[in-house]
Amino acid sequence: MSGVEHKALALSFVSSQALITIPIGVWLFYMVKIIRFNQSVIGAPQHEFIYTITLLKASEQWIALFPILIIQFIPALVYASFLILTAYTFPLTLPILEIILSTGMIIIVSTATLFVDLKYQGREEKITHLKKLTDTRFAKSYIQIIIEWIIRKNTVAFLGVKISGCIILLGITNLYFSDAYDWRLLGMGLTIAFSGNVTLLFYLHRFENFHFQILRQLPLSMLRRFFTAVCALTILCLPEYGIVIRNFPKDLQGYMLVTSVVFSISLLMLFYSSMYITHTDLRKITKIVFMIATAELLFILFNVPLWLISVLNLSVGIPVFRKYFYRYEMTRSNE
Amino acid sequence: MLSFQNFSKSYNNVPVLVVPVLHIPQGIHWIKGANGSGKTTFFKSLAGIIPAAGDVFLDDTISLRSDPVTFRQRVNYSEAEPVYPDFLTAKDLIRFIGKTKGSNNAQQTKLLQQLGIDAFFEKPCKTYSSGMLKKVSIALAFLGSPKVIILDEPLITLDTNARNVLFHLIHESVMEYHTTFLISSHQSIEERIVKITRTFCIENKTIVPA
Repeated sequence: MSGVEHKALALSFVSSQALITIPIGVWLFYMVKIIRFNQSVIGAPQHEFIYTITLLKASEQWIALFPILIIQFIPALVYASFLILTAYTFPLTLPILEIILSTGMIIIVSTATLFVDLKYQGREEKITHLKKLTDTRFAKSYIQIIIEWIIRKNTVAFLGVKISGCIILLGITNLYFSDAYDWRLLGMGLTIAFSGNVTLLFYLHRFENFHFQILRQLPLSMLRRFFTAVCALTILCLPEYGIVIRNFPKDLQGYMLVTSVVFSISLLMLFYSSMYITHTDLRKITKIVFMIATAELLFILFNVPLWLISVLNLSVGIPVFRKYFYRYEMTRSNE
Repeated sequence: MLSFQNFSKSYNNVPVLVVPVLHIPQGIHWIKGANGSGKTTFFKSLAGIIPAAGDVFLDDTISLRSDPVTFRQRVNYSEAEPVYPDFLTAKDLIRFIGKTKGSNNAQQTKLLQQLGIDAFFEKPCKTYSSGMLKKVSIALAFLGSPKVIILDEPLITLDTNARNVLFHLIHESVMEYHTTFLISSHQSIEERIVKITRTFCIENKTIVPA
């Protein structure tokens, strides 16, 4: 955007009570990110020394913590100043007050949260009544353990992937209502939407090879390991399947629905298997996924049937998984 | 019992452990070595958690490489510093791992009671102390009918009572099931109850009888 467009956007924010909520919403989201970041930093064992700050008086702690939060919020504060300046030029008083109050509030809330987190270090973990009840009644299965890990530990990523995947599939399937397309549009939509799930696959891979390493020591056959991953991924992809089933284009033949589900799972399993070949981080994995997804898109464009691509994906994915599973090691350099 | 053939472990093409030939008979074996000598790497490779070159045979027939599932059924492992997903309970871990190892509920209940895990059985791991995690890890190592149990630093963080229980569990397994134990420990092992068959040393990147 050019400078004029930035100013126009800023003016639109400050001139409407509805639109001013957009930057304030972004700052609130940023505040949540900062609070979570600070909690993870002070929770790390190597940062235990930070707790010595609690030996100071409360007022001195606030004086020490407040500038830290100011620095962390510099991006928000710079844009807030820009909005204030824009509002002042016209002049609009109410938005100026709202911006000052909201930015002040988020800094105070973030500082207070950090203060409380430091003060009540090592406090007893609270377990919800629902968790207590389920823990008493049930013992989790392998599939449940995987699903719970992904959802609990990567909630934001999970929601982001699901929302974006559903929006893509909703948009693609809606195109069939207005114009005539063949199966290839749906196939390309599925490839793009399910490629986003690579983030979840990455967390699943880390879980099985790093966070819950004992899984590698269990006497589980390759077939069972593969089947468990397929089942867990199928359950995690239910929102996307819901969209496809609900909006399945009438012009396409019924068997394409089953083929779509099989294709998406085969694609995920190919991505997952490829993670065992080399010691890779998420950045490198994203490159591999990009290459695989591009190849799949080309296959689809050249009218290779979806079932055949699924067979190809599985005939590559399963042997790769079998060959490399026990050879893989997650070391400190690739964790 | 355990035969090693051209067994080696490398990191970035630098060998950290090389065992050309080694035979470990049935019994209780104390694996000694200085910090960083490669005890945990050896144990993890033997348990099949991390890959290694060469092969290990159990009873001369079951290969770590060719029969990975059967080998893992017969070899159990307890980590030096166990860490489990914090939302899982001891119940989730013991029931799930017990099922894969072929352990029945009676065996699981007995272990829980002996090690005092029943007091926190249904609580999530995030509420556990390091000693409680260690007890769970030890219980997991005894699940099923293992022929070999690898205990990596089993005595650290355990209270006196739990140590005695562990020594009795080891004694019982050897007497009743002829289980072989590979134990690493910097603490002294109670030899009145647990008779050490042989001591091995990990030094100069290999394992030699002490």
